[in-house]
Amino acid sequence: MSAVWAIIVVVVAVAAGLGGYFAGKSTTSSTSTVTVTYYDDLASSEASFMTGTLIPLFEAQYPNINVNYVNIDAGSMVTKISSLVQGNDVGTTIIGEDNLDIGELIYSSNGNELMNLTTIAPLMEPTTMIPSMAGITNYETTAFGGTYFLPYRANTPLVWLNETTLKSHGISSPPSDFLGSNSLMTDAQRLGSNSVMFQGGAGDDTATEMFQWDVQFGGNPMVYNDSGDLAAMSYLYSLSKYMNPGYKQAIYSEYAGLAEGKYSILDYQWPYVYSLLTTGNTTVPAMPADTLWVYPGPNGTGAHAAAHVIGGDVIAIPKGATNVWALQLFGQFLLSAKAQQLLMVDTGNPAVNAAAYIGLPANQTVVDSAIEAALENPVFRPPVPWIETWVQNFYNDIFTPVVLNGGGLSAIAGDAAHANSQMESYLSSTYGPTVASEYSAGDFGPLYV
Amino acid sequence: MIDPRPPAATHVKRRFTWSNIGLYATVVVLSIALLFPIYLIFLIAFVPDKYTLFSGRPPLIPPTLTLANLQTGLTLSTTPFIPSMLLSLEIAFMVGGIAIGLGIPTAYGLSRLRPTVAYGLTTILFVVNMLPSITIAIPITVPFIKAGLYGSPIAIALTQELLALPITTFLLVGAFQALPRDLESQARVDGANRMRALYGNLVPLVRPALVAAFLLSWMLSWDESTFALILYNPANPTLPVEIFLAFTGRGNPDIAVAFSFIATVPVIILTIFLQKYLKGEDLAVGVRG
Amino acid sequence: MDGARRNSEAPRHVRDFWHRHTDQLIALIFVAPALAYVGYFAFYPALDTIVLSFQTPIHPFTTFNYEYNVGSGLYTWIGNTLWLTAGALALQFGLALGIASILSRPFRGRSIFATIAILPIGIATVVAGFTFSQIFPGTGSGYANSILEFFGFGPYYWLNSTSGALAAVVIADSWKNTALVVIILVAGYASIPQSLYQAAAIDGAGPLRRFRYVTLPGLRSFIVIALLIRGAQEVNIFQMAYIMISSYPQLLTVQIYVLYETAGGLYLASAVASVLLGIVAVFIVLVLVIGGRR
Repeated sequence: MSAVWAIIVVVVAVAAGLGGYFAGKSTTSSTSTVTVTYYDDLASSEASFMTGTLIPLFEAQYPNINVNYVNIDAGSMVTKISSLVQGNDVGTTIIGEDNLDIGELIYSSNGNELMNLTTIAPLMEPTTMIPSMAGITNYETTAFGGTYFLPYRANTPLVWLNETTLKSHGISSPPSDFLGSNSLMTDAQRLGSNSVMFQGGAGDDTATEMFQWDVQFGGNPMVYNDSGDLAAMSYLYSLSKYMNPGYKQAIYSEYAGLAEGKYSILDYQWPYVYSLLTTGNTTVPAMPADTLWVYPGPNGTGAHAAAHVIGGDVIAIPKGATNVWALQLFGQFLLSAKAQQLLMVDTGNPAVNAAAYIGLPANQTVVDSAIEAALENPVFRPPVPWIETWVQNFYNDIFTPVVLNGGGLSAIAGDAAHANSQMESYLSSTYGPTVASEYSAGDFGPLYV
Repeated sequence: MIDPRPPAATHVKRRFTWSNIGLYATVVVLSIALLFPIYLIFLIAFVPDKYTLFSGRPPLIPPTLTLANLQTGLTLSTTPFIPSMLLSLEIAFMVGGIAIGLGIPTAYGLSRLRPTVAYGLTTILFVVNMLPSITIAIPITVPFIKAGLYGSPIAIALTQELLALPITTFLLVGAFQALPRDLESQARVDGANRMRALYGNLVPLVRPALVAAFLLSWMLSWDESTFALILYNPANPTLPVEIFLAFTGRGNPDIAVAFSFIATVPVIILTIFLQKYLKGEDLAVGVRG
Repeated sequence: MDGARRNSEAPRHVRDFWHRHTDQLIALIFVAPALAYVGYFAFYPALDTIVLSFQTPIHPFTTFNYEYNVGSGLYTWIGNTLWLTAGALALQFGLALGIASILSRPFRGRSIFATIAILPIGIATVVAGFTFSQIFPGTGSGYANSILEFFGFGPYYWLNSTSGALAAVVIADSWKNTALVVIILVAGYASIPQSLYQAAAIDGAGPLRRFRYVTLPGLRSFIVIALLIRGAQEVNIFQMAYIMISSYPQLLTVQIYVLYETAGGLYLASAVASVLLGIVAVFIVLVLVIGGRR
């Protein structure tokens, strides 16, 4: 009887294995077509657009190239690409990677794992790139000695407000400043507690928002403790009294709270939420466009009062990829005016190709004008390989003790100094004393290209 | 059924006593508490999101029902549902199969070893169960990457087996020890060699324990998400990892809702089936011996 | 009599000795594959983690990773993890004793209640985590408050404070894992002879005294085993906590995952993982010591 059981188990296991194998296999194959594997990190609505609209457009134009899209988060993409490069198993692969994570592939322990694109970049990159994006490629030549990635989708966080609620409290326009009579703070005070959402949590979001604020207060966010940084942190602590407590756990879908009425000011969220908030679907109730204010955000103080963090994604090709001609055609397509315009209209991601802004629907949406305004004053986070440790360090050493644990204003200076020394010792132990002393001297800072 | 030894001769009188009322009241309250989250799984699956996930004050009794959540969750996902489910199934059967395959000889060996040695080896297996999955998962990616198995089902199955093997061995050792000692000798006298005696004569007698062990290992693997997360192939994650990513990443929560519901229904059925095999005595032997 | 006797010229005690030895050896061979598997897939990576924790890309041996993590708040993470473990164990054992005690008597509907009691085992951890994050949510009110308001109490925002957030995770984890303890304790109840209860009843002991002097001692070894196994598992809690409370308040396993996902955080993650391993090692030593005393 046990033999029968053993046979049943084996048969089922084999059947399940075969089933999984066949279900995962692609159904089309042809000896003359090339299959491009395209990795990217997109929200599910954006990914649907990519596979349903954009890729078929490319495949129709080039019938002998198939594109296989794989959705994978930015961090795991680095591990995956690294393992492919080290295993000499890259194939025909192109990636759309977050601009911060791309640094890990360049500075990996295995050397630079990206293909040098200097010769084919002119074929892929349009001549009509918007100025701040064109500046990135110049920066690459200086920093890396060549072009290793191309800007693909710019992304810039915006501030979103519930116009109806604010107006009912006597606020007639979005706050123009951090301080002063029409400021974020006075608005929050008028709206009361639970009115502001600030993306806390250990992810990039908190650190991105603080980077933005530090720059606008005139500080260097990388060192944590210059006067501008301390001013921004004090401001955050004072504002936290008015924040919806959900910021502590920061589940991404919490942007929906704006449409739900759980809070009325969403401080910095990427523009992809615009279509989700205004059209609504089974996940988010609709927020009619005339109840939504969106703009780049309040102005700070000093020279960089209106500077705006630009994030976004870049296109790169792993070292050792095959059929580069097909990858070059696909990259060229993704950066073309048509594709960029479609991406921008459908997913809310700002286009890097200026030509994409021509011929947009006559009534430009509020979010497009907000994005254009933000893109005029770009500031970039330096693509150093230790940027994520910088993020974690900020969260553990400053944000948690001061804001989450209620350490208060008096704790800020001490915690920031502690964060600075932690970062320095990390750099010393991981990259050596030279990098550590450069860090202490403030050599690493925001990039104004 | 979880069936402790029935009471001895004294007849239980079903009287209307305070202790009886207390007992039934406690049972009812506990049952409600235990069933409430399962009720919620169904509620969230079949009630529109604005009354559940996105409501400031979600109602306990649903105002309306809908199939839209399941529809959205199953069609919206860019990583299709069927391959994930098949992958989870494949891995679960692998883990169950390896548990039995590796567990039978191990349990047999342990039941025949001298008690001190057997105790030492069983302790080693138990210690394995107590090691944190995440501690092991991090360095274990390296040999898998080198062997080209990173993200493959067999890699995930082999790591999840660490959770299944100790409990399988525990159950089977108890079952083997409950068998009469000379059963094996009898078979060997009759001419069977050791392997045939084991698989032909002993193993069939421990079938209930085998079924329980296989089902438990299967369910452990179906549920497992730490190893599956660290070792996952982004083109084809397992079902629990998909739910995890859909809820914690920038995913659509309806995916989490739909997959949760579908992942739960079969295991509820299996658990009901499983509890028939979990007899108290089998476990007691394993603990004492 | 065994059939493997071949050397019929040797004296009988030698034959039996040799035979016993072969028997033990063969039994060991049967166990060997499992031991090899466990050695390569469990102990070797665990040791590897400890080795990694003392390295950085430029230093072959240094305690930097531990110092850095202490500076990041390691002691608080340990404290949170231990509080969570203690609370969860208390809740699970209290409930399990009650449920197992109920299941040890006959009453109408006992089999249905037994099924309900172990049903949570089958629910996947991520599903349970997702469901409980709707009961104890970050923003908004959640089902816990819907229930509280049904009974006339005001809403309580669980995730606002460290203790509330940990309590929410304790409740969620206990819902799923009390059943495991119930199974072990039911086996324990089954092993206590009814005659002891009868003797106690004859001596005039009421139900509470019977529980204290008959049940608890009889359950002792079962409780100890279950405590240690569940304690080690509780310290390892990851998915449930990460889904419900993300990274605040910080627990050891969540920090390991977050550091691992951070570029260049492998060595830091290994240090925290080694600390976790150390705590589990304490539980393991207790198993060995208490088990050995039997």
